[in-house]
Amino acid sequence: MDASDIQERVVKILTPYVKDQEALASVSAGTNILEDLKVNSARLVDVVLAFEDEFDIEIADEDVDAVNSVGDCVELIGKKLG
Amino acid sequence: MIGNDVVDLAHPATRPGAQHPRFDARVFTGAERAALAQSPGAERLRWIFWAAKESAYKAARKLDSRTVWSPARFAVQLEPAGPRELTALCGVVRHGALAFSLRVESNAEKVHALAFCARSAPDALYCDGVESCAKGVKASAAVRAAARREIAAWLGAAPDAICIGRRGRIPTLHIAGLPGEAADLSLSHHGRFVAWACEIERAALRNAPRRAANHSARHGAMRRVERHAV
Ligand SMILES: CC(C)(COP(=O)(O)OP(=O)(O)OC[C@H]1O[C@@H](n2cnc3c(N)ncnc32)[C@H](O)[C@@H]1OP(=O)(O)O)[C@@H](O)C(=O)NCCC(=O)NCCS
Repeated sequence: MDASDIQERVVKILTPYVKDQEALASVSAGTNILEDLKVNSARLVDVVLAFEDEFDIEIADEDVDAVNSVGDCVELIGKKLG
Repeated sequence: MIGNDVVDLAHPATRPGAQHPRFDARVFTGAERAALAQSPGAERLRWIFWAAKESAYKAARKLDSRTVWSPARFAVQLEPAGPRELTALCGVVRHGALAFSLRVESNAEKVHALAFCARSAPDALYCDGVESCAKGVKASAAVRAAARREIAAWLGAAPDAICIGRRGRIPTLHIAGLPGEAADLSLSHHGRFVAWACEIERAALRNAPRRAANHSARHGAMRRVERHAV
């Protein structure tokens, strides 16, 4: 799976949890998940669990903590998929 | 150091069944899940535990910037209360070797948790508040305005004596006449509510020029403010 496929699926999973719809309209790898999309921290747990289901991977809290942007997410998932 | 967290219980995200099926297993300890299984008020208790963890994380992160937001590693222990007495709870949140004192106020609408370093508590004064946030108003701005207004009123100072800044994403509080490290602030917003909590060293207030921070004995060690639009 290439990075753009992963990003498409990441954004699809994030979409229902995004508070700032304007930021979502111009989403890119550099978009910050907490600051730009304003995904709330409890919803972020649902997002991470949905990533685990979608890509059949396990994501530790330490991994999540190191993620800031959509691009970080794509990179993390890409690494887990090998 | 202080941390707080507010949860709007009417928000679609907090409604029963709105979470991922593995949500509880991911964020709660075995003891917390057992308490949820036994509680007649499990839906509210779930967000009490969550808010407790997040408030302790906010305080812990200020003590050690390497702290990881791993909810299950913040273990919440509530003091025994009657099965329906979820309104005002005390307890402790443990994270590794650290222990945070916990106070939680809740009703059918919301939960507001406050966590502060058990060690520093005797030497500090606390003030916190929750307000409803008008529709269309940016929550980040609303919570800062509320905190500034209420902290000024608490101290008998002018609002412009209260300066809220940020260090990275963490809010900072400076009160005119007090040393920079004497006051700490935590902010939270969710759904219809904004909430803030502030901790001030007693000794710093004692030594402060009276006009800068006109604190007096009429203020208790802990003060709670609640304002809602009608
Ligand atoms: C602290 C945190 C858990 C709060 O998230 P939340 O429940 O959605 O938000 P709340 O409304 O309760 O709190 C937000 C306020 O907390 C404060 N805050 C932000 N990060 C903070 C931190 N690390 N420590 C203390 N306070 C913090 C800010 O004042 C913020 O308000 P602002 O946006 O108006 O400036 C979250 O911002 C966070 O840092 N999570 C850990 C890192 C993480 O998950 N990274 C992965 C991102 S994809």
